[in-house]
Amino acid sequence: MESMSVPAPSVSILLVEDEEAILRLLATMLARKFPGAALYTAINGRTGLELFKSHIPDIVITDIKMPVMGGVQMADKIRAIKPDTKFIILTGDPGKSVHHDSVEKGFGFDHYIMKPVVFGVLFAAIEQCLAGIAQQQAK
Amino acid sequence: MHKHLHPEKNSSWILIVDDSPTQAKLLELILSGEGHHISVAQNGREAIELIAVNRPDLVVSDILMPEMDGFELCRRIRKTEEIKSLPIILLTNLSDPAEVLRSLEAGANYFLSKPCDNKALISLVRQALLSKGQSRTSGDKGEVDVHYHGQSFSIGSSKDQIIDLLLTTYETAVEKNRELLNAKNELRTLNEKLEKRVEERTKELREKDQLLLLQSRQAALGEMIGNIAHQWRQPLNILGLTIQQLPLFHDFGELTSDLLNQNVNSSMELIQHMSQTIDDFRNYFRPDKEKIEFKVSEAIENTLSLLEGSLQNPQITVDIVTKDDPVIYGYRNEFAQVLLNILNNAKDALIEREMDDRRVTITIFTEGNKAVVTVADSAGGIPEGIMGKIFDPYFTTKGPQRGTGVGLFMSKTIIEKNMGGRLSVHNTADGAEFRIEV
Repeated sequence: MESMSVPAPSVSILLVEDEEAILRLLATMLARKFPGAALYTAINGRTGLELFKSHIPDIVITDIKMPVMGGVQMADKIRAIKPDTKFIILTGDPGKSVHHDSVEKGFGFDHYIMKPVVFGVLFAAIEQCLAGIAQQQAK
Repeated sequence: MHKHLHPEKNSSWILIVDDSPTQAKLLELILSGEGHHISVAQNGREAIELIAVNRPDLVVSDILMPEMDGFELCRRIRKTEEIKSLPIILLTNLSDPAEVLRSLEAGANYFLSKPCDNKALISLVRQALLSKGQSRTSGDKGEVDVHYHGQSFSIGSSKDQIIDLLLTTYETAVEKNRELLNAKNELRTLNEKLEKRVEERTKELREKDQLLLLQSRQAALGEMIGNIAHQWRQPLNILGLTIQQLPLFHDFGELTSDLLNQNVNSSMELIQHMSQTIDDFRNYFRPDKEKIEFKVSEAIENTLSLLEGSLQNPQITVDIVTKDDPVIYGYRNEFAQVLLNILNNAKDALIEREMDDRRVTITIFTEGNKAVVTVADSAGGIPEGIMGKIFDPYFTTKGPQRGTGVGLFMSKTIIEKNMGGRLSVHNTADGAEFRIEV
């Protein structure tokens, strides 16, 4: 609907992905698509968590399988800090393990996006999150 | 009828002379079964004593005996007027033709081969007993001198006695011959059966081997598909994002020719890389037709490039220590398969045991004229209890989901049988170390 609209500058996004080429590509396009949002990037869950603690972003976009700290483990710790954080999960694993690690453990995520990532799908997911955030702020 | 008449029509008194109690007992059993009365003497001297007391109808005697042998017994009997016509059967193993002449010389009537065939014995005894009344003094008293192989024999027996003995000798020979033929036939049948069984068994074994080979191929293929998936997932993701950049940049109005070129170049690089991956895997699965010379270090590098994807994610560090650069003459892909099996096992052990320090060290060197590769992991080692079994077919510690138990078995077969080398394993301070020597 408002695909080219610029979100409020207060919105911030954390992007966590261990493959640097993918991180770079995603970050480049997100910065162009959502120029008003503050974008933070990390290459594993641990640095992601540190960035979260210092910036408290509204949306976290993360890979699942990563060295040092995986996406689910990081999400767990982030939710302990800010339960209403929006999560968009990027996963190359269509199998049960992601489901097992998330939904079955009592928490689901807002969006699951299969790799290879289709930008349109990712953008739509972010827009939905933004709409949700806008609604909450309006209340 | 005749002077030696016995109460029963067919019952006669037979004296068995044999120093072997077993052989004597056997003869006694057979002949008493025919209704004859049996006495047994252990040698010629004992026989003479018995005969002096009571004259038997027939003497069946062994030849070689202590104190007095069968020939001497014959001679004594023939020299004693009252018993000189007593029929005598000598038991022989017919090993020497001179035995026939010696028997004739001594005055034996019949020959029977040892070990005795029941039917032949019974029939010969019957024949001997029938002829017992017939005159043995047919008048021809002239002695015949026979020279045989440097020995001379003086035979004084009557013609019918000579003919009887020669006939039984001949019969014995015929019998022996028949036995031999039978034995030969049996042997041939047995041989054929054996050959057939060997053939069947060989076929079974070959089928089993082929099954194992197939299973190991399939297991390797399964691993490979996993590896290809790992190898391709990231480049596919990147490629997807790279291509999608184009319309987005276009929408943003930023699509310059520089950006377009850069995008196409990086896409092509990825495509080349993926294409190379396919070639690597396909080469790996191409069966080795013949032995070639190859560098050990190259085979290791190729194998590691296949495993790149699956070693990267669990963060396993592979160090290669190249002390020499040996060349192996053998099956290159099979050698690579062995490396792959060992590396996969190391990887699985490192992951399964959740080791923090995940290292594999590959060392290449030469020892004497052999190329040696050691693959050492830091996974804690193989439990002593299963050390002796790990090269057995179908032995696995990974469970039916992951392991088939043929990897190391095939590896050993490849290195030792196909390439004449040696594959062994031992534990180090940190883990297991496999050693390949070719």
